[in-house]
Amino acid sequence: MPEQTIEMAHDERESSAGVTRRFAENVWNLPRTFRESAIRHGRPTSDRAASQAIFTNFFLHILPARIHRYSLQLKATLGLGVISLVLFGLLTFTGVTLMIYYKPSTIGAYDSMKDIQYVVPTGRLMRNIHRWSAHAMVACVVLHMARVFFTGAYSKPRELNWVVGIVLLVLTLALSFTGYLLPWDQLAFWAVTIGSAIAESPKEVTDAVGITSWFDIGGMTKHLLLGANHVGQEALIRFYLLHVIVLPLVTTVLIGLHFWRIRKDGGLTRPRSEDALPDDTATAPEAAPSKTYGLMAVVPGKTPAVDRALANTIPTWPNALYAIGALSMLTLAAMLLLGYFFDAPLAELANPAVPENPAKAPWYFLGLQEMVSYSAFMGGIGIPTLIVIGLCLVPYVDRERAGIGGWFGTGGGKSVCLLSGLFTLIVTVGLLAFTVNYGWLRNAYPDIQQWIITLVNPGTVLLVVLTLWSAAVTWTTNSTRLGALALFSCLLVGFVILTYFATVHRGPNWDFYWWPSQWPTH
Amino acid sequence: MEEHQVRRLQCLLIVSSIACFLLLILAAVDENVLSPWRQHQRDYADGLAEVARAEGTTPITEPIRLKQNYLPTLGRVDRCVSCHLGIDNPKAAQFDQPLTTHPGDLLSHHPPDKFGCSICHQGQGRATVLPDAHGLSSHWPEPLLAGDLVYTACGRCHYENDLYGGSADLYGNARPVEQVTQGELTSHVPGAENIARGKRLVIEHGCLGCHPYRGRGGTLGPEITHVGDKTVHDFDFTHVHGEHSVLGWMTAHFESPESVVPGTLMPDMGLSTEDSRDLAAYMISLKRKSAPASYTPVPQALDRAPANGLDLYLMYCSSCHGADGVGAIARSSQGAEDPDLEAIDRPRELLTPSLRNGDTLAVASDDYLRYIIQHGRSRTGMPAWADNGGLSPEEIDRLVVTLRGWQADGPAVDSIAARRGNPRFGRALYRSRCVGCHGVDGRGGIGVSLRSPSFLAVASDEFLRDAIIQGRTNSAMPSWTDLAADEVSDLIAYLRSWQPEPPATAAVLARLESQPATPETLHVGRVLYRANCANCHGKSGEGALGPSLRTDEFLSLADNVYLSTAIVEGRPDTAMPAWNHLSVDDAAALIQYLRAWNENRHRQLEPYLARTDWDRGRILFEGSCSGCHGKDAEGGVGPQLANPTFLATATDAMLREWISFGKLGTPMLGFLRGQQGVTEMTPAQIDDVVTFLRYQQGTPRKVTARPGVGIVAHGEETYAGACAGCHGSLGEGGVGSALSNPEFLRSASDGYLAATITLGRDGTEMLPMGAGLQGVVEMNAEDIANVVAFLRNWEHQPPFAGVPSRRVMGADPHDGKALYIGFCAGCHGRQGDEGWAPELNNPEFLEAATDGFLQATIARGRSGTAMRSFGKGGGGVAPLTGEQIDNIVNYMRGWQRMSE
Amino acid sequence: MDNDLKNSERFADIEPRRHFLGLAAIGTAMLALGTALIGVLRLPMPSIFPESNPRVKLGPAGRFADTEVTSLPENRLWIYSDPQGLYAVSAVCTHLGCIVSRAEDGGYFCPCHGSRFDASGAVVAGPAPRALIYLELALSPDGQLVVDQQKEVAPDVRLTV
Repeated sequence: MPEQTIEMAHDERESSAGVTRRFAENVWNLPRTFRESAIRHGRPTSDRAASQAIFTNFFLHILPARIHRYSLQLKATLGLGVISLVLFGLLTFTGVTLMIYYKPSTIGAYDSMKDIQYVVPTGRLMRNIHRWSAHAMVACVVLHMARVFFTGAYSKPRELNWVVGIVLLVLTLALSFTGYLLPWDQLAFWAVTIGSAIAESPKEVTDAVGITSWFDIGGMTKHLLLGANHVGQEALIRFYLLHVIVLPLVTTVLIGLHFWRIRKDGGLTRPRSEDALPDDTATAPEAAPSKTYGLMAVVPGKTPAVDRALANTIPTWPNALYAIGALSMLTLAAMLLLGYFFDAPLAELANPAVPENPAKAPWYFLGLQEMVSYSAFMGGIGIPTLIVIGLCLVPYVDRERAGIGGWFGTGGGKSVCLLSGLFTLIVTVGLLAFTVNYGWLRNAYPDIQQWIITLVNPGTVLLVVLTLWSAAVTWTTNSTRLGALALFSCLLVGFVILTYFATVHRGPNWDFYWWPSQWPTH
Repeated sequence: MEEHQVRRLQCLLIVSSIACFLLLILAAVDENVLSPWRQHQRDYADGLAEVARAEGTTPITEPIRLKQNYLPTLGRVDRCVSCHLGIDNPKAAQFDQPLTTHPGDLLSHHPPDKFGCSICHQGQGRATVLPDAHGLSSHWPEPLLAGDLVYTACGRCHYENDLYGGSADLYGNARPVEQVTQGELTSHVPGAENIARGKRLVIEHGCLGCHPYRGRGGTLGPEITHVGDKTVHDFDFTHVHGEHSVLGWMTAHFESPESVVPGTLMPDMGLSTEDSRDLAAYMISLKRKSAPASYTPVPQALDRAPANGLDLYLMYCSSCHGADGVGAIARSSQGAEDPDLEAIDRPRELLTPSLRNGDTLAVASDDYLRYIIQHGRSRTGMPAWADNGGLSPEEIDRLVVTLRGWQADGPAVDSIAARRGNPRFGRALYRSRCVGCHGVDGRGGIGVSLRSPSFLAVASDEFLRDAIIQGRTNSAMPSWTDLAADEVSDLIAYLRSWQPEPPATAAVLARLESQPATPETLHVGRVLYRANCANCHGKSGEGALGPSLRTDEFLSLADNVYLSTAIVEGRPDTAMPAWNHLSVDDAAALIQYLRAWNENRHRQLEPYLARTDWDRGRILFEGSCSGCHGKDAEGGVGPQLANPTFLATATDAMLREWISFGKLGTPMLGFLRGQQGVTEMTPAQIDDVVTFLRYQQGTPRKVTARPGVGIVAHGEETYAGACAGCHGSLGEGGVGSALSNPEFLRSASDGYLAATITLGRDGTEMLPMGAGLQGVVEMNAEDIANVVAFLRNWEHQPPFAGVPSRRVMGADPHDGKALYIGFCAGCHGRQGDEGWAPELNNPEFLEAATDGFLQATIARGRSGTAMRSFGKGGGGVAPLTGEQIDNIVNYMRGWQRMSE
Repeated sequence: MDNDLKNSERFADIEPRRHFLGLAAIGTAMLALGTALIGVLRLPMPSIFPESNPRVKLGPAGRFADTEVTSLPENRLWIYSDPQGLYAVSAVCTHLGCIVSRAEDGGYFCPCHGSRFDASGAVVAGPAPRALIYLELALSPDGQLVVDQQKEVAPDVRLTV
């Protein structure tokens, strides 16, 4: 033993010159070795390498190694999901930069907005992009939901992801709304005042039932939200916290889950027809490296089954990456365009003494605000909750597999949607026209009970009618899928009409006007 | 197929990336090269370079960067200097905006690095692009103040726009109030003249009558102390067609309030557009002091200029009662017969009564005016100026004086005395003015009975004149200051015409010559004496209230002329009435009876005229005589000497005799050396005194208040026993007329009082109190003197207002209610407050208004308002008798009692 | 072996076009993102500071001329007057910016790291790298003493009043 060690020591001593050489070589090779440690492979020259490029990359491995041709086509997704994600990223990014200058205090907030607008380098652009991206994101998320619904992508095995998606939609709205207060201008102040009043609106019910005294859920939510009875410093700091920390975190996590589920549920939906074998089964699909099978085998779900799945698929790298990149840059360009040419609105400093008239919420809440104008609770909480729950339940109620993946499913789905849309158009417009002209129950019976109004008001009536319609569709066509399609298109059209109506035709005191130009000044 | 798909994607990626790149570059260039303030700074640098070249100096180059004034103490950041680079650089004087120098020397005491810009100029200090920085976007509440409006911002720190003056002059002198009436209110800062005009308009149009400023002013309108802080968002522009700015709104509003704010109480002041604009500018200048103390000038003690009454009236009253004092109703109907018709649709708050009419002021006592001003009238527009209005007592007094000033100050007294009136004209006047209260025949209604010989016999012309001109406080008797001198004398003449013609002195003398005394005549004389004279001159003429007659000196000296004149014409302002209802025979008989006392012994004095120095006489008189006869010989313990009829009939000889040897049986002692007089005089000195007395004959006699000879305490007892029953324990009057009012006592001589007490007043409930007469109580001479002395107290301590007269308290409220519903409810409402006319049932008003005030107002109406005359014979719509009016007044008093 | 061959063939034909386009695409994208990044990095560099003007009016110059030394803690400096005129010494330690205080002997010492300066402001002990700073004084038109807290002057400069 001892002599062995001696020998080794001896060797070392012997090659000490070699050590210095090796050390020099290492230093010399340092750039290369570092690159190798970071990037395991060059530009992939084979499908295998391409696949490896995907899984070995932390950011990319959320994507499958190979992706179905159909999924890359525009008609498959319209890219809405990706655009929403990009917008979220953009929002996070600009948001962080804005936080550098924003002061969440009733005294400093408005001034810091002004500073960002006027003297902070690129501040104006940042703020504009932030604001417009927020609006765009809401729109994209809604459209994305519509796409998913109309392509029946909610159905098994994607039920849970659908629910997650809806939660994400709600979170998006919440983010947008909390951000709305931060500038602390009149718009913000009064929109949020209304919002918090809606949060309090369960009082309407508890009052009707007569339990407010010991169970004031409305008051509790309001106080939780505002930290006071009125919108003030407390509310501002709470909204700030929600907007910059809580909601973004939750959203990020859920987005992760959402994407992860997409892969685990077998990628994007596509019509069965797309999975048909190419005519010549003879030509074996190009062999992916045997290792890959093993790896894929770990992945549950129907793709890729040996010998067939690889047909109609192409490597994610670089095809999908280009698609994603292009979409992202396109979005960025659009936002830059908006941000450069249109300034984000900023009204005068919040003044609790002088209410904004009309005090309108952001556009995507105006549909709700219209219904709120009939019954605060129903419009602001009841109906939205019902709708959200209803949407969540859809995949569990409608379990038809026919026509999944294609737009509007099969067999007259399109016509059902069109018909429902038309129906909704007529009903909603009629209802609005009636309400504008004749008012509602209270105009007829001044001393009517509030709870009756709460139960029976244009909002609820509309909801019931639409629900009945889609039920009717379901029975007549005896297809739950068609019923679901009918319901969704009804809701979508209704939402659009109400939003349009409240945006254009509602003026001061929430009166009806043909055009905003007819509003009385101030 | 994937290749071309991929290629498409790649191209898309390239295109969009390039788009992004270009946009970013565009944004960068825009921000870092093209931003307007950079261009301005380049221009400025070029401009300075040129100047330097011209001067041959080297220009100082500054880096192009944002500039600002950072003012944490003001909570402001003003970046105006990023573009307005030359404000503090005289070299930039020639440059154009925005580079030019700041005009004036304001910057020297408002250094920009301490004050910034936006505190004066407003606009948006933080912005760096023109439309935003100048606040032109609709989203900035404080747009740039253009033109002279800049000076409205001075109010932020300076106290100049304090209406009551302040540290220095700006929008008008520190003591504006005098200057309003003097008509010069000039700005001391060039450029702010219009604002100064606006300030003056505020004062002239009495805006403060409705709008409180710094706790002073009415309560009808909103406070204007900080009205300048309002922003465009605080106004409703629905009815404004002009520019939608604070200035625009206010201008339109001041020009015609109704059209901008429908249904507003604010009256149309008839301002021109320019006036309205200036007024608006001044309003905008009324800002809250928004700068920390270290910025504001040390506020010197506000020298509250003592405003004279007229200015106060202009500032606080004119907006409702009109600058000329004719109320809103009168204004609303220019001289219409029935002014109420147009007035009815006006809001109650604006039904302001006219103040400039004699009949209000004539019956409203100063107390009443003061009281109403202090306490206001609840449920009407009239605020309580003492509490909320914040007027000091002195100021209110000044106001009262001003109002009084509108009352015609009566006719010249001597001209009345000079002229002998014409009863026929007097009659017409009486019919129009007096019948309402004194009745057609003068037997009295609300007012006292005038048609009683004893009254007329005792009341001198001067007494009547004063009563007419000054009126009687706390009674319905107004002061007829609007009458002309000869009208008054006509009136007096008419009253006198009720007296029987006095027997001519000549006739009496003739009778005395023609028939000597017979037992019958002596008997007649004795009866007459006992009946009429004994009470004052004593049963046997030893004298009591009046001088003693039964002295040898007197009877032997006094000739028939003297006696008969004294009897027939009396001695004005003494207790000696004019016995002009005696017949010639009676008068003769009376004289013969007196003469019988000293067996007609008669002593002729050689005619004599004193022609000596009256001035020395005056000194002597004051030294020796004034003690008893009063300083001006108006009389006191001793009889009145400065009395025309006396002096006319008493010859110098008589006077000298009396002064020298005194009058036996009277306190009058002889003053000649050797006599037992308090002082001793040489005959020459006595002559001086005589001359002095003669001189009194010529001079206009003053009926001055004189110290009562009686003992007040005793008088009070006697009064309480004998007089309070009718005249009220406070002399407020009841069945009897009010005694406790200064004017009356001032013009009523002791003699008048004494005589009235003694002889009573026929035709009224006033019974003769003299001993031996059929009065309820018998008063001897000193009782009467005491009572007189007691009454005199009230002359110096005027009674307080609004004591309900017992007469009214006795009246029948039920009948009154009926009458009220019948005649008054139409305008004043059934409960006295639902009508459109000024309400009656509020306590302050009723407490302040005396019965007399109410009676007179009902009886005679009020010119310039819708209130018409209801008095009988007053040409009123409803001839109400005195009793009926009393009933109504008592019914109204019922509301007062309820509230208490 | 033949797999590899197949692959090489498959890729070979389309190689150049895709390669070039790909590079171009990635390049432009990087360019755009890079520009954006520059813009973003620009943002935290304030173009203007929330500070008041470094030139401060200290009050009528005469007042300072009368007293030998005036301490102005809120301005972090001392005003001295000697026969030649007025001069201002900054109280900010040249080591790490603490506020030095004045010792009885006329010198200064810094509480943070124990630097010591003599009456003229020169360093006598401690880590301070250089003497205390003398600030520029000037007279405003209205006779007020003005100090510029950012302009340093030589220690022998005096403002004669």
